[in-house]
Amino acid sequence: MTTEFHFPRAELPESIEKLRQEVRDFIAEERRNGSTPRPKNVGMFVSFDFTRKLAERGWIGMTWPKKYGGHERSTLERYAVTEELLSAGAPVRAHWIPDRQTGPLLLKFGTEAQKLKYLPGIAAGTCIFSIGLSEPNSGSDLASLRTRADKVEGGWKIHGTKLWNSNSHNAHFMITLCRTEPPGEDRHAGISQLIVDLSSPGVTVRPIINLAGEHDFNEVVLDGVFVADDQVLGKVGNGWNQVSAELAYERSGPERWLSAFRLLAELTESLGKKASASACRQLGQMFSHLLSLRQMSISIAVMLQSGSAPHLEAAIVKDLGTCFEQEMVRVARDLVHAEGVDIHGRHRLVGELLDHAQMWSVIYTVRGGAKEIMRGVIARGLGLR
Amino acid sequence: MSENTTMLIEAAGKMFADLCTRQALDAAESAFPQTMWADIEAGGFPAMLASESDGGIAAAPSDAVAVLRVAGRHSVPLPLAETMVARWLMSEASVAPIAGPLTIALGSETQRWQLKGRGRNRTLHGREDAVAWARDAKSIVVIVPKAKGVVLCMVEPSRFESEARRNIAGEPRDRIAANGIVPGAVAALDNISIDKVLCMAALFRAALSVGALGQVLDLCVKYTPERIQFGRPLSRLQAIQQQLAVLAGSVAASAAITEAAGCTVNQLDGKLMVAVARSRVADAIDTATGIAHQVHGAIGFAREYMLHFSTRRLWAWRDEYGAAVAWREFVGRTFVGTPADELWPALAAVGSNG
Ligand SMILES: Cc1cc2nc3c(=O)[nH]c(=O)nc-3n(C[C@H](O)[C@H](O)[C@H](O)COP(=O)(O)OP(=O)(O)OC[C@H]3O[C@@H](n4cnc5c(N)ncnc54)[C@H](O)[C@@H]3O)c2cc1C
Repeated sequence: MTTEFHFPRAELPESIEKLRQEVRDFIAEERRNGSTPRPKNVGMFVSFDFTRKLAERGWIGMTWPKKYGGHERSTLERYAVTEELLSAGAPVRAHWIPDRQTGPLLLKFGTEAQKLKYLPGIAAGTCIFSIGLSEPNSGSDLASLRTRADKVEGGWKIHGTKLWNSNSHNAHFMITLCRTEPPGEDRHAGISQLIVDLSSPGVTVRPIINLAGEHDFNEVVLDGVFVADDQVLGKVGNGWNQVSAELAYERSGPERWLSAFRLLAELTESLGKKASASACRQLGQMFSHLLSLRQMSISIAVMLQSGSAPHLEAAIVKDLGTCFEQEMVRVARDLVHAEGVDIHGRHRLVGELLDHAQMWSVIYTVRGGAKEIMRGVIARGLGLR
Repeated sequence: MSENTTMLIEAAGKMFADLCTRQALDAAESAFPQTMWADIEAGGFPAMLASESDGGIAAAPSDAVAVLRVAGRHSVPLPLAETMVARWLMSEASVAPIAGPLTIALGSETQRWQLKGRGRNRTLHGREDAVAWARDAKSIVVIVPKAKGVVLCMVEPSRFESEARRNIAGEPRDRIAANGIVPGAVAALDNISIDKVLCMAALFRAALSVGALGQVLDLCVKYTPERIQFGRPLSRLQAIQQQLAVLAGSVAASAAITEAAGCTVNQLDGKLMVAVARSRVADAIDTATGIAHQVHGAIGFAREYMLHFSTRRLWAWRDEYGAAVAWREFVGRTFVGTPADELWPALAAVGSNG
């Protein structure tokens, strides 16, 4: 008997190096011409200009069929592009969720008409989706959601409130998880995914300012919003299974261990070649975590490429990755002081990144599924529950 | 993994599980288990890295990693990793193969072994702490660095001044010294550096550790459902489940990076991947041994229960063939001071540097 989880050794094909270089050259050019400066913040920001340029280069919807505006490239090629964009701190917020999650979801469960309607716009960077899962009274316990859709002539009417919806203020649509049947014996039954046009009557998107003073997420109130029958995603009542499929994409990627990478990069530079042995040990420990996580993410990308849905492995990467990032911020704070990095003068950028990362890092282990929930998934995989 | 390797690993799993009973492991902490060695040698494992003409199968380092992982899982109380390295080096240097357990002496970064004099009169000088199984080896392969490569000196253990010692896991780790021994065979190896030898030995410690970590996880997953407290199995308690999930994650990460390091150890930057693996594995050892003993309660502290065979080995192996702090420092030193925009390309190239 063995209970170990296996992440088969996987390598990215060498052909990917050329693509990587193209992305690096593009970002370097953006830096040079001043369109996209070296980031002073960790995390993702919205730049429609940047999103449009990526779309022009074919780096959104990379793996999708050409007839839907995609580029028919491999999952691994997309993986390499995401690594390059995230490590550079590129402003990819606008299209990130639709590219990562909504697209694959539509491809898997959408009707032909839905695919033709939405996918080309997503790939062009002009059609933005947000995710409507959480609610005021439903977070980790998502199946307790109360937003409901009542059957009406030709469609559904939705009543309810969605919360913490990232980027909904920039989005055109929101895939909304709601009850299409009252809760019964099986609490996962009777839940569906509906595509809500955020410009519909009855939709109110209210900003929620976060701890860092930014407008990144929102409250979306749905007050009798009409959704036509042809805007149901997948099967009515099958929403829970569909959401679960979505999560492997959300949880396993490099965004789970590269969100504060700009801090690590600027800090590493600022410490200089003469850093103390102790600083090198702490940095080395961080790099070792990062490179181990990278092996695991690449392994998952290969599993996704071959069509499997590695939920358990994704939960492991999410848990380890987000905990690593929190620890990294703590280590960085100690290191700048221990090594006397001039964060008020020459290395002001490191100080700014550190402050920003400090604020965001508290939430790394909450968003996208709290760490306790991830660990519950892993414990189930161990057969303990 | 090739079909051959898969078969080799299956064979190793069966054999090691049968041989490494609690009694056998206990006994090995006071006397060398000769018959166990004979069985494992007959299975072909210690010589697997040597060429076919030298009695091996010219296996890849990644295959050795896979076998050692199984050995680590069962706490095989033998110098299997050391003999693998020794037989590989001897085969590379065309030194006639020697059957039986062997070990290696690399010296330390501050004190390497030295050969003085010329030709037949060359003598060996130096001292080293904690040489694995020195007293039980048929021969010790002493590795002397030279300008380019190393010189292998084959010396029987009885010829050293020595003090028998053991590590925290009860494995022999002897202190040996030589002040002018004339070695048996001497052979130069120009294309293998002392760093390379250290890397291989360090990689093999990571492989053994990953195996032992897997065993620690298995013991926890087996024990916690059987232990009833407050009318429920411990495994039903969320506090326990959460800890075991953390343990499982650390084990998975260590296994993934060690497997990768095994595949890349012969590349130009092979040392960096080994260092990364050793650093990651050390963190997993700290996490896993702490959690495993916590969820086991007092029984885990009892000699009669199996957990300590794995955890004591993990504590020892964490800092052998380079301490975790040294490996971390090497990783950090490699990158520190890199311009911010060059860091990611440098990291992304690790392990793909053919
Ligand atoms: C920056 C950010 C962006 C987000 N973007 C979106 C978005 O675009 N769309 C969207 O739908 N949602 C979004 N979310 C919401 C996110 O999915 C939830 O925050 C998350 O699922 C946790 O839910 P909660 O915040 O309600 O916490 P709760 O579920 O109330 O949990 C609070 C704490 O209790 C713990 N806990 C809960 N249940 C258990 C249990 N059974 N056992 C042990 N511990 C438990 C949790 O682990 C957590 O530590 C976002 C959140 C953040 C912070």
